[in-house]
Amino acid sequence: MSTRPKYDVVIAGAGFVGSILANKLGQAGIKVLLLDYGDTLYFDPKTGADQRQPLIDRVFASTSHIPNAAYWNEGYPGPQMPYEDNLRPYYRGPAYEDPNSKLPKFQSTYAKVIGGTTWHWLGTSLRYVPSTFRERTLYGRGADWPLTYQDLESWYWEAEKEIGVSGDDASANLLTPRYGRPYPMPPIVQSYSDKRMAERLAGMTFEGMPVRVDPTPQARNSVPYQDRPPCAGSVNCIPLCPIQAKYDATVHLKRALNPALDPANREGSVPAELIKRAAITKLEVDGSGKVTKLWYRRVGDAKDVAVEGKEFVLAIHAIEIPRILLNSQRESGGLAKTSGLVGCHLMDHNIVIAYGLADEPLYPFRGPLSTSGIESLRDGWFRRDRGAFRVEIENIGTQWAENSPFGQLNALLAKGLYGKSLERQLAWDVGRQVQIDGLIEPEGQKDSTVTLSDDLEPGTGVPLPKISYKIDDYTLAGRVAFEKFSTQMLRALGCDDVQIVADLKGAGHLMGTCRMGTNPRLSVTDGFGRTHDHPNLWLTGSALFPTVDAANPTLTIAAMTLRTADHLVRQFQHH
Amino acid sequence: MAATTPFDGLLQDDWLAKFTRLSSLLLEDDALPPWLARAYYCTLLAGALPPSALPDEAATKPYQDAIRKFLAVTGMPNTSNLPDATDAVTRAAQHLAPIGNLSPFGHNAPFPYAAPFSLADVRATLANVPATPEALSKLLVASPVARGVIALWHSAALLGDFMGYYIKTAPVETYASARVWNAIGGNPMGVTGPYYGSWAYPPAVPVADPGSASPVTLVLRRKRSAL
Repeated sequence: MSTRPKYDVVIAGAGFVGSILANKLGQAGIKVLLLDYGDTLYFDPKTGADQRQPLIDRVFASTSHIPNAAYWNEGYPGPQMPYEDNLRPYYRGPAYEDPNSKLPKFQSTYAKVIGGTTWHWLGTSLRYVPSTFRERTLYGRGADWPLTYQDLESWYWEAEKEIGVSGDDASANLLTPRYGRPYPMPPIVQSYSDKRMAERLAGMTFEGMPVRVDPTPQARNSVPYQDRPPCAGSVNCIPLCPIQAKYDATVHLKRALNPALDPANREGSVPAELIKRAAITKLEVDGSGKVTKLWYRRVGDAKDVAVEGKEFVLAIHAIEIPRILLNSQRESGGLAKTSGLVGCHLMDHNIVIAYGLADEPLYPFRGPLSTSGIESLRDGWFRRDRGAFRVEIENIGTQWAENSPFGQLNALLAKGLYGKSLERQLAWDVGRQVQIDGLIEPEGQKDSTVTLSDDLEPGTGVPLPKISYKIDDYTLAGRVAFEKFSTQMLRALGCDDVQIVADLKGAGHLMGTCRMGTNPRLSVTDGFGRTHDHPNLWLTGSALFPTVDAANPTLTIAAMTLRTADHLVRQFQHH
Repeated sequence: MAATTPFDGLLQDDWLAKFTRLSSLLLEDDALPPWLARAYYCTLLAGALPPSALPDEAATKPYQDAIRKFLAVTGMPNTSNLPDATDAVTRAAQHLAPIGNLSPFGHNAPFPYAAPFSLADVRATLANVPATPEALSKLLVASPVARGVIALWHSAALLGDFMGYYIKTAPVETYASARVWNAIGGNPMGVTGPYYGSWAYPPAVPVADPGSASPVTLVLRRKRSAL
């Protein structure tokens, strides 16, 4: 290779990680190329003006209020992103191909749009508890992280400012020490039902631990922040906040594409370039193990195109990253293969839903989808024996479990109710609904895998991912504990009849598959995401997590990304 | 198939009047917005088309044209700030006549994107609107068309039998008018909410068990006796 690569860093994926990285590297004068499957920005890169109205219209026209209701695969020749019960167009394996299969399905999906899945995330921005980073040492589970809570703590704080987290310092400090560093915004005010629950559950304990209804730290504005408005209570964080009170990756993508939009724009910053409708197909490596080219195909084109760079970053989540690694040099077993762990340890937070009718009105369907949770049960010695859980308290009644309020409306119509008596009965039936979701901590299993199937994706020719998902005994033991707890909690709220949904649901948390660590034989990357096998290939996001707590992963992804960005900037400054 | 009037002649103002009459009885409301009635009536008819009725774009066009003409009488509010106010009508007509009623998610699973009633059922139900409360209640239990009428006003969509999942949504401009949200004191999901913190307190109108003498009904009674 005689010519110098045009780009310093080539980043596959303009989602949460890709956008933050591109912004931070561009501010340091590093030339970045972003590639993304999506076709539309939904903002004006010149002015930064938001243009999400077409997405809002799609939500209103959609027949289902699923996370991907607004997000079509623009330009993609295959079907739209699927329902959780029909993942066949995206995932392969007996669980998806055999309609009679009883095998567990990995139910979580993602959005193939510019800005990625933060378009429809809930916004929950919890830190992981310190013991999660040393779970093997403390509890004999999973693997220790190659970094500690203390290594990440300052980056957590940076991340909270970067994406704008509203949080309660005092309650968060109980589990995740903040060393006096405050959240950038005051907590989102708790809903009326949260406050009633806190009052009625006061003094309750579970297995000796206190049960506290705390305001959830969330990337949702409680005051104007980053020129975005405070939450208005549009009850639609998923699939789409209509006013961008909730953070999404377009905040950083705008700054990456147009550094002048960054309030902290520095002299010498350079804009990132973006190639749209680009499906990554494979990486090319030279004899020394360095990546030289990234190949992609413009959706609809007949052949692949290569780009060159000094450093290559895969920011395309825990299913696409192993898919591309395994598809590169496929005949010799793929890239980053020394440990043999690429694609292993696929995890999600399996969700157990419990619901009932309280003995007083709690007035759901107002405010953000969730404003409070029970975090106080997330850590303890019990984690030797069972997965921890966190409790997400819903502000939308039993929408997930029973399609409220339309399920109730349908039932009352079938009984012949109409007019004012219908409305009064509906208000009484819906107004008392309580639903709590338990996010159960899994333990990554080596045989819970993403591999390549024999079927090629239409339009790109890359094999579709074959998924063999395991729900481990650690999770199942955590589920038993959550069911016990939820029954206790809902009874205390006056629910005579506590219902627990039999099927585990997906949380949309794609985790594991490229575990990081210090030992190249037991891990795919180091603590910064650099692959042990290829010195200029970086993996990102929750694909790296060896253990995952019971908490939602996004804030930890942000902290890790900022830490890696800093590391990359230093590396460029040294050379 | 022989050339027929789109929707078998039901897309006419006299049938709309019957639809509005039945709606008023079922909602106990005599002041229904005409543009909403028009949009929901179109949705009811579109939902009643068998999936095989519109196999391709050419077959869809007369239906789209008829709906566009019908909706243009009252027009639609331009909620999405479309460049031209008539665009909302055009978009609604496109939305209500998708080719073959295929799932917008493109998979081939037998998802019920057509309502469990036919145009003939719509005709029969609207032709005989009952007068007494008992008869209305019986009609609701017996007729998916009547349930469809009230479901449209309450949810801006036709609902399927299974858990009330949407089977056909009305034009996007009607979304925020779904009466279910007002009935439960909630915010229509996705419509920009009232203001920060509004969720921290109970709504202005408390709900109570309809089976007991509630504060709300007491207030209503007092008002009535004052008159």
